[in-house]
Amino acid sequence: MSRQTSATREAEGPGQRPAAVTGAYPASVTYLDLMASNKRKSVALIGFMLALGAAIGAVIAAAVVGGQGDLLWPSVVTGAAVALVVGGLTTLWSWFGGAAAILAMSGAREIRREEDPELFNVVEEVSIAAGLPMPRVYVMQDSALNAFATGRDPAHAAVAITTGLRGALTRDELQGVMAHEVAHIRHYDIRLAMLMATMAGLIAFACDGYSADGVPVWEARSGRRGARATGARWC
Amino acid sequence: MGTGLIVGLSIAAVLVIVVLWAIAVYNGLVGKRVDCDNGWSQIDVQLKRRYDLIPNLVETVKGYAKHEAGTLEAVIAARSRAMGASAGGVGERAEAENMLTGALGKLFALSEAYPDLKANTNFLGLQEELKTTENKIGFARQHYNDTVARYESSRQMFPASIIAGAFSFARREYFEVKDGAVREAPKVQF
Repeated sequence: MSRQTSATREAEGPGQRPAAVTGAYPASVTYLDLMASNKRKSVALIGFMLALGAAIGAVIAAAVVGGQGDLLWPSVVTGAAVALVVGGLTTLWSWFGGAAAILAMSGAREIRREEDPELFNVVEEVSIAAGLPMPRVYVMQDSALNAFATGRDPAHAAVAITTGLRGALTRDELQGVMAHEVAHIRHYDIRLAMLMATMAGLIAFACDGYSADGVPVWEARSGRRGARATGARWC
Repeated sequence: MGTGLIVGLSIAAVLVIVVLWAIAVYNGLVGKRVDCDNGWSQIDVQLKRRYDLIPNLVETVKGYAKHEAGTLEAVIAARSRAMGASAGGVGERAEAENMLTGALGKLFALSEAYPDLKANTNFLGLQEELKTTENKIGFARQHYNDTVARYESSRQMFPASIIAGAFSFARREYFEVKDGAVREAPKVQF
């Protein structure tokens, strides 16, 4: 029993859920509303980040050419345009490469059916129940009890589980965890969470390439801490 | 503009609206019917998978539990009956499949009494495969019944029912678990 409760706490702990599933909703709110809300928020997030980038580009350009009056407006426009191009490229990276980046930073490895038929079967069952295509299945070598889902849409989705959680659960308990993860796919929580994690990660990179002790951020964040900082938060 | 022209144009406009509405309803019904067929084919895939797994299971169990010929024969008979019913209607099929589920449940309950059988990796593999197939049938049935519910409510509701009647959109049956024995967990007797 204690095994079960600790699994629940780790995987479903407070403050670890994506915003879209926290709080109580009136009964009239269906999963379709949540799905639409997550898609809207994803678009809003991309729009906001591009606008922010353009504004920063404009301000930097204005600061650089500060004194020369005639050059001010052309440089502001150029600065914003350059920032938009860079922002557009990083958005494309977040969209198409975000899931792979999150899985890689979590140390997740894709497995084949033969490696764990029971896990595959369970994921397949809950996918049928949700009416979704089968997501890819990943395993993280970690004794912590955790699982998450990521991807940009149900056709490009993945679920990942730690070896610790995999070993701690019975078949029926595993089905419950995977049903939860597949529900995140169904609701497009994965899209919003993936964009937030990768865009926030990029900002951390840009602002803080080297931390105070001179260790590059990407080295300090790799491995277990990397898993904590990115994917594992979105269980 | 004469009165006749105005009346004529009004009638034409109403006709156009009615025709567009009819097209929309017709296409909606076709879409929902396709969903039903698709939902049904998902159940079908799993049922066929189950037929394929059973002979192996029976062979494996036979080696360990020779005295359970009756239960094994019941499984084989239920499988043949279910395969025979696969050409029939949904109701007939559901009944045959439910009997097969019941017979398999008894077989797995019985295997509890044979420790050697339960330790056999081949048996464990088959047990997992049949369990997942059973679960998939359950989930696929749930999904299929949802699609039937959506189709039936649009088909029967007025005024769409006029279109459904005119183009003979046939009733779709739910895949139901009617048999009381299937709903109950199999009882184990020693």
